[in-house]
Amino acid sequence: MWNQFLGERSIDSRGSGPAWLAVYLALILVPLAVLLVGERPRGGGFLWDFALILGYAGLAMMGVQFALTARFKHATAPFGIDLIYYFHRFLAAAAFVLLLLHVLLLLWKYPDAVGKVDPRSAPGYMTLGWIAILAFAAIMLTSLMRKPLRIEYDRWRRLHVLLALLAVICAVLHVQGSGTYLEAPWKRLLWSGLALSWLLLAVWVRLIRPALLMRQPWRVVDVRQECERSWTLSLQPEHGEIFAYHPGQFAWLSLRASPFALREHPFSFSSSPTRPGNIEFTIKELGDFTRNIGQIKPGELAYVDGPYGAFGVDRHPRAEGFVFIAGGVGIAPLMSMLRALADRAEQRPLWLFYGNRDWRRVAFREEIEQLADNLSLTVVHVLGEPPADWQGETGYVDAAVLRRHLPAEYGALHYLVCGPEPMIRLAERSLAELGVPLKQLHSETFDIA
Amino acid sequence: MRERWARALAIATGVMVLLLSAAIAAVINTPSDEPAAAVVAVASEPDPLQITKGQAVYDENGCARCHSVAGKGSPRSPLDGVGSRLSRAETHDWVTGAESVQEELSPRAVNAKQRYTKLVEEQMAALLDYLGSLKE
Repeated sequence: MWNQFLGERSIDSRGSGPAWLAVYLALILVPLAVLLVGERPRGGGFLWDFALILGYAGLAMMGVQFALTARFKHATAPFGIDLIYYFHRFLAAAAFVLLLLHVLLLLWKYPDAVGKVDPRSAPGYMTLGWIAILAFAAIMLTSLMRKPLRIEYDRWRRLHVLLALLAVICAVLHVQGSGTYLEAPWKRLLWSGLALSWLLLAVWVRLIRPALLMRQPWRVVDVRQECERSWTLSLQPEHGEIFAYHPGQFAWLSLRASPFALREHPFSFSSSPTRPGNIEFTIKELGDFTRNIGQIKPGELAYVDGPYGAFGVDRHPRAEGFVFIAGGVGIAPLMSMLRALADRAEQRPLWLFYGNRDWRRVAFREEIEQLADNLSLTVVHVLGEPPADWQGETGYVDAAVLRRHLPAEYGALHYLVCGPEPMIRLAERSLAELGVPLKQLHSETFDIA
Repeated sequence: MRERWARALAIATGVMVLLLSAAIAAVINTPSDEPAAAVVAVASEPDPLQITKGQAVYDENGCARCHSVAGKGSPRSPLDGVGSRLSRAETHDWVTGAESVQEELSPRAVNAKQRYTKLVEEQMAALLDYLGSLKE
């Protein structure tokens, strides 16, 4: 596990979701549909044209990947960035299947048209096509098998970016070289423009945005241990003000590395925007990046790209009350919300179900008690390995635990869940069992890598 | 849950794109009303050795990337029967992308055919013999 990120799901939270879905579909389908407009090549048989068009289709889908991972705040907000990254993975797999189909159909039915693979005798555009498919295959292999192949996350990420650029550039040149359906200059221009926009997105994400972040460094002002293996880092901007953010949002954090180094990781704010002056992240020692998080010293530089995300109470102003369900360090964004709600003198009823393996790992114990005094907050600790004298809940935050502590009108409340994936799944199943409407469930998970 | 949504949306996209690709291929292959090319008279049978040599020139130059013979190669521009449809001089013009045929060729095809202008006379003769042997 490499971070404590925080994708959020809240698909109903913004009406712009369908509009962004339409934009995404248009980005894939319109470049294909234009192949039919105006002058078309003579048909070479259904299978022949189908095989060729699959290549265009796969490339259009791969190109959209650059937009999906460009962290456009407005485009990702209605869905949650974790859903976007899951989608990025599945869409890439689907696109790769189409590209593989493109290659295999041609090799199977038209091997003579494919010709020799040897780059010394094959035309350049065909060699580029082979390089592209090999690079796409390498992306799939290293992404699906990163952990078994023991590729360290940061190294994988750099490799991923390089392979993606190589694959798409070669594929675009392959299409331009073969150009079967792009004889009309305007079609060629459109596809060239499309390819250029994908590359510009990569330039924006990998060069321009890091350059902007370099100009706005932050400094670590405090590092404190919250509980066993969990640390809170407090940061202040070197120049100017802290950006506005909502409790529950997250940012990409670079520590001991330049923003260009692709060593940034997403973490939720545990601080509240109602307490200006600094931002805080509570981070658990879990993976390659976080293992030594406690060794960060005050005074060190940091780079913060944010805020992002739509997970939080501010998205649901009409909720009758909130139920927070946290697992381990998943408490971080919920602390941000609880602190904000306390500072805003929130009157609505609140519940916090906080699951941990043992009592030593329960972060913010004292502060949560204080918050319970100031808010209408019911706190339920659930321990997996409780001490012998434990009187509270044990096991997991499941339907039985929820039922024991929630009021009869629990169906009207909104539920915000943050924790590792198994915990989220259990919470989702439990809330479904209780009949809580799906639109009132908002969750955030760790480790989407 | 989110993972399932993402997977469902990706699969739906893949299926939609697959269907659109099939639809485009089907539209492109809708039969047209273009009249069949006229068949021209052919003078004499070329030497079988020349035909073999010509086939080798055809293979070496990767003609099958854009053309097919007996179902082998790109089916977009089949050359089956070209020996019955075109005279030797016309075939030469098509092979080299001469000005007289450029209007009917895409710029990409004209460009691709430039390599054939560099064939030595003997290779060109063999290639034309081979193409001439492809009768209806």
